[in-house]
Amino acid sequence: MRYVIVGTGAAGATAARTIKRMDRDGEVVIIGDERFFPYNRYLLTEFLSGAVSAAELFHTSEEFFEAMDIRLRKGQAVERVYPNDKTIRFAHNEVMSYDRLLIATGRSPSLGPVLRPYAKLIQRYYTFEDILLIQKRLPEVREVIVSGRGLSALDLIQGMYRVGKKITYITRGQAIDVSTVESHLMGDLDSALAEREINFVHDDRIVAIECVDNRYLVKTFQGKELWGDLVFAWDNYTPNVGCLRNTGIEVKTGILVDLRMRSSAPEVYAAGDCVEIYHPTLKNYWINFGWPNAVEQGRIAGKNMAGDNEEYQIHETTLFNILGKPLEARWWD
Amino acid sequence: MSETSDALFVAEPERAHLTSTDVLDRKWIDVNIPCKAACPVMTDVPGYIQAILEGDFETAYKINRRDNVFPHSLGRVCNRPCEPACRHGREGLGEPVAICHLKRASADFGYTPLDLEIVPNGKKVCVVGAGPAGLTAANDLAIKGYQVVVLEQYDEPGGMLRYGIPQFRLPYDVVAADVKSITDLGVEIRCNQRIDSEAQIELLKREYDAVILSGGCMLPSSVKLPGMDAHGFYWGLDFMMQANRELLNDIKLNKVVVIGGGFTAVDCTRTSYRLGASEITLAYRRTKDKMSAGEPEIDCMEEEGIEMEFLVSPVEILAKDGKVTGIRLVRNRLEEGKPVAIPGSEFVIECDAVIMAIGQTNEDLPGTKEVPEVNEVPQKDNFFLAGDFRNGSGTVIEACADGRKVARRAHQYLSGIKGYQDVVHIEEIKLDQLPRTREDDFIPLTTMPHIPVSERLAKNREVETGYTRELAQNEARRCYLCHYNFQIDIDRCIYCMACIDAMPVDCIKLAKDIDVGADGSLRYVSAAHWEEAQAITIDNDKCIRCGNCVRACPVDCISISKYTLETVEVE
Repeated sequence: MRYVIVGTGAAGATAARTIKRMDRDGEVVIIGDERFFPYNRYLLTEFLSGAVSAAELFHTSEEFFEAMDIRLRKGQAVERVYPNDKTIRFAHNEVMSYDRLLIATGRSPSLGPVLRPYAKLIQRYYTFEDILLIQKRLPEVREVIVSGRGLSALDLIQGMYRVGKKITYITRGQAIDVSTVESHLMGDLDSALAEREINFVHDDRIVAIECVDNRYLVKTFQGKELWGDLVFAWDNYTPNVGCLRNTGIEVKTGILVDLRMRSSAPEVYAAGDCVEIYHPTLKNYWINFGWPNAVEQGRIAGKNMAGDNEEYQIHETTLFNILGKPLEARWWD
Repeated sequence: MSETSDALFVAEPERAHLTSTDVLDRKWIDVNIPCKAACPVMTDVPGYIQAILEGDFETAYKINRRDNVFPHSLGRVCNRPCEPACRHGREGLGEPVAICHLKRASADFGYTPLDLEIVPNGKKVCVVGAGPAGLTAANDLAIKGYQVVVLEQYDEPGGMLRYGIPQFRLPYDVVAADVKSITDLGVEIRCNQRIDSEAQIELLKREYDAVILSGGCMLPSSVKLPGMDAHGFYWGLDFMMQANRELLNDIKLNKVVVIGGGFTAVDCTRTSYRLGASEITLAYRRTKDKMSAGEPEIDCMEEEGIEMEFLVSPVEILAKDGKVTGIRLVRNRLEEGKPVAIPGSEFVIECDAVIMAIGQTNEDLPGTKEVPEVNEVPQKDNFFLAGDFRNGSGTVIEACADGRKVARRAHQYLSGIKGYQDVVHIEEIKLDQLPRTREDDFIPLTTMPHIPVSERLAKNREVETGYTRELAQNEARRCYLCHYNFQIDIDRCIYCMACIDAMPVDCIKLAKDIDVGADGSLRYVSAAHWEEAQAITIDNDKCIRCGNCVRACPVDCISISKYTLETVEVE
């Protein structure tokens, strides 16, 4: 039995480990498009500010994969899944067959049609490689502009604050848009932002970016012109589902799965930040992002791929929980 | 056989060429020019793109004017069935060519009044409805010498082009330019003339040699939900028609929910934005990839800040004191691709307007249901049905195609010709006439320029500003020009493999055998080793027309020929 796992994050790595524990003879291949061994993405801000070492960032190593007899293929992007043929095609055109496939590709900041033309002027804040690049540029940076929705914006602001940068934050709403945070926390967040002397531009959005003499001029919908040495911008964090385009596998924003983490195609599973499940309490589809959830879904997907029949338990809370710590602990530590 | 109108539009250079009615040659076009085959009117896409590439925008316009009649309008609002079919968009080859934007460029820079020699034949045809189907039929019949009168119920011609699509996508003067090009042929359009009774139709049938009814599809689909009678509820097409007649300029919109996933639904969201709504949500029962609206229109909608809810269906319009206060929706799950409501998942979006844009149906006009089909065209004596009125709500280009089909049938009925036949013109091309090189394959897609998003509140300002000539020519370079057929003359081939060494993609095959199907389809039985090979052949479905193989061939055994299709009358 060949198990192929696309994605080396928490869900993918957990699934690989789980499968190997249940099916020692099974062949497990785990594929990641980054050049590094799997690391904890949620610790990147701490790594940037020096609070966490590189050793703490990487949760796996060559020895781990050797010991588990898991084949890691890093730096290789999967371009397309062919569920009818039970194959995948890499960006370098190699074709690999699978008996069971797990998509655990996570999600990443995406640019909508307004920002897309300025992609080259926008600094991404998502991968270890992004952080290495930012570290290199930091000595030249005094002011940064941040525009984006969600907790990732908070995380980025915290990171830039810790390394002593002046921050302008642009948001479409009246306040920081963190829909998953319970309302009683919002006031505290606002005052935390104020304490950090963040230039808060509300009810606005970026419509154009220019590079002038190595600085960036950001123009907003309301007609403001703001300058920064780095611009971080995104519209949404969206599941990485490009390899499933036109495959017939059902995708809303994320891959639609049942409680056993099965997608609409036979033998294709999905787990982690790239999946969307209907949440009866929210009465909405839901991407339960974050490390603990990815580990949980990866474990269940791995077990079911190896022949078990376990259901994912939807948590009855919407309070965001990152690294097992509630939001307050992360923000005010 | 006799000449059709084709030669009147575009003068072909006088080169030696063959004409063929062989089914294999006809099939070659369907298989190898997929953009053309996907177009309901079979527009000569590579023909006009090559003209643009060569800087001849006038010829590009004339090809479009001949094939699809409305180059200005379709260059903006066509649903582009050609683009998903484009071979440049196939796996590993990049993005499809921006065929529709190039059509617009042909009209923007190549528009020229037609100078056709039309010989009147003394017969009169009445077309009811001045939409795309009716006007296409009128155009085609006027070229054949008929005196054509078009009766239109509204105060301006154009049908959905004029009233169903907002000006920021399709300005009125653009529609007017296309309509003028038809009236310049002698077609008379009489507006504010509504035909809605059997007696009126009977009168027209006596007065004219033929009557074509193409009244469109303007009634909303029959969906009934509680609360639809409240103030603030609109049907999608009604909303667009009122907006396009400037009847909604004083409306007060704040929060709007639009139901639907088609072009009209997206147009309703964007029109609401321009009418001052601050929170607009598009709610669609399936997923984004199933929306029938085009990707560029959806992108523009997103740019304008419109939110989207997928996998939801409307349950009830909520109202208080006769005014809309919200909409109750239910979440769907997909069961074998079909949306099914999830019990207990109902939720409410507060709003002051609900616009239901879920499709249209035609009017039930007495005497039209009984019209039988003759050779796929509804015809009873001298009375014909055409366009959306006959087929249900469709696209502009489908309506044009149906108008053309019905016009041909009417002409056959009135003139006594036996019918029509497809003829393939095959013209030999020298390598130095081939405008493509391998480098052209790496040109990225040329994006359409837009006005800035901060200037979109101007209600009628066109958002897409069009390619410049230079951008159009740059985009035209990306086209594979699939009308070129590369063939290896096996009798002269020395099997040196030089062409295979030079091929940039897997386009030249060693074959043990080639099966030819009855319809002209080819199936290669590939040879694993060259010793097994009985033939070496170019797979034109894979060929990117770069000419590398012709340049590499030491014995000059690879020929290039250009295939063009013409439909001629059989007398």
